[in-house]
Amino acid sequence: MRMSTCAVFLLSVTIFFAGMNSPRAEGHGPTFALATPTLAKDAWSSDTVGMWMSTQEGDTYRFREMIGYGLNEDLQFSLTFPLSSQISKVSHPPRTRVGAMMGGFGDIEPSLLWRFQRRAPAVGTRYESALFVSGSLPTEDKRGGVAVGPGVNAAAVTGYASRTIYWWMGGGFQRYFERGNDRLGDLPYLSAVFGWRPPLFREDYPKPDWRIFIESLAEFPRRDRIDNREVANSGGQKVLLGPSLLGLYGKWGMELGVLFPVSQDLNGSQPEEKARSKLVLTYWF
Amino acid sequence: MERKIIGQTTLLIFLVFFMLLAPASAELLKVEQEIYGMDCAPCAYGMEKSLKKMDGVKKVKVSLNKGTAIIDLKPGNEVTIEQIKEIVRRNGFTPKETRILEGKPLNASMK
Repeated sequence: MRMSTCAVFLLSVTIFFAGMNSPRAEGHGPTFALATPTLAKDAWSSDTVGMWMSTQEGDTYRFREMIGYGLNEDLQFSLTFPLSSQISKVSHPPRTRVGAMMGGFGDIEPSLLWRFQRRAPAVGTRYESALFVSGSLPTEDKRGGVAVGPGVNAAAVTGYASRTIYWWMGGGFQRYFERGNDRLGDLPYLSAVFGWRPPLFREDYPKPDWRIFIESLAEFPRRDRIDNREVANSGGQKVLLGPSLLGLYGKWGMELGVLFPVSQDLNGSQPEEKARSKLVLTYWF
Repeated sequence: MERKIIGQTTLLIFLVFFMLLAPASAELLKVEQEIYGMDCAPCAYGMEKSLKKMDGVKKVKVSLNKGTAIIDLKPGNEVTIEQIKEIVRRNGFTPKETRILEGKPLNASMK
């Protein structure tokens, strides 16, 4: 209930402010991994995300919203918040961010994405690098039985975009602060993505723009702490790999992707993850 | 004779004054702006939208594959090449060569 009220309020506020301007759009990247594109100056965007995770213990889903605003062409402010979640259905929810740029499960997360390096050597091509920093405020009291506190996250990413080939690679670190005597374990993560636009989809604007990605995400969650004691059944490491598809048409975007674990080494007796899939609908105001 | 010279000089001053003011002989009417780094449909959409917002713009056609924006301008506009390039920069891309397809620049370098 607390999460829904909060989500409705934040969504209303952001839509109100988004409606005040009529800005430009810039670009979009992969579904799960870190990427560099930032919005144009004064541009607004909305990303609505649905993510499903399947584990040995059961399936869960969550929906999130992200509102982005281009402070200038290289600096983007975003606010992401949960719309709804069914995560309490499982006792050991996998530790992850709902996409590298989207924040933790029940967190409200304001962030800054700073594209500090950009070089465009030819038509349609860019080499660029960015830093991503965010803070998080939880909307729920406990996550997987651990009292959840506020947190911070920092990541760096570099990559290349063109009309045919794309790649990005990066890594980040999320830290949650203690609440009571509990603390969610830190989450270091790495991501890599390779994209390709088949010749069939190389038609010129304003025709739809499609591209295919192979994405990889490696997560190394540390152990949680309850009452200042490490939880045996928490933490570990996981490497996931899978395809995703990005479709862009004018001011609309749609991403769909699925990741499968290729390696899982979880501490204790945690349920293994079978797959995670994600759908993102984007609108550039 | 003296009055005739004064009259002719006054006429000449007026002519020069109006020639300096008249924009019709020095305005851009159709421009092709080369853009580097623009790779996606929303990039093109944003570019088209922001160029169309400039006063005096009639039509904009963006090509992702060619990396260009062709801008048709209304007669009497005061758009400069530097203004076009600044809009390209604010969208996060790199403006390159500007080709004037119709009209003349008010005062701007071509690159």
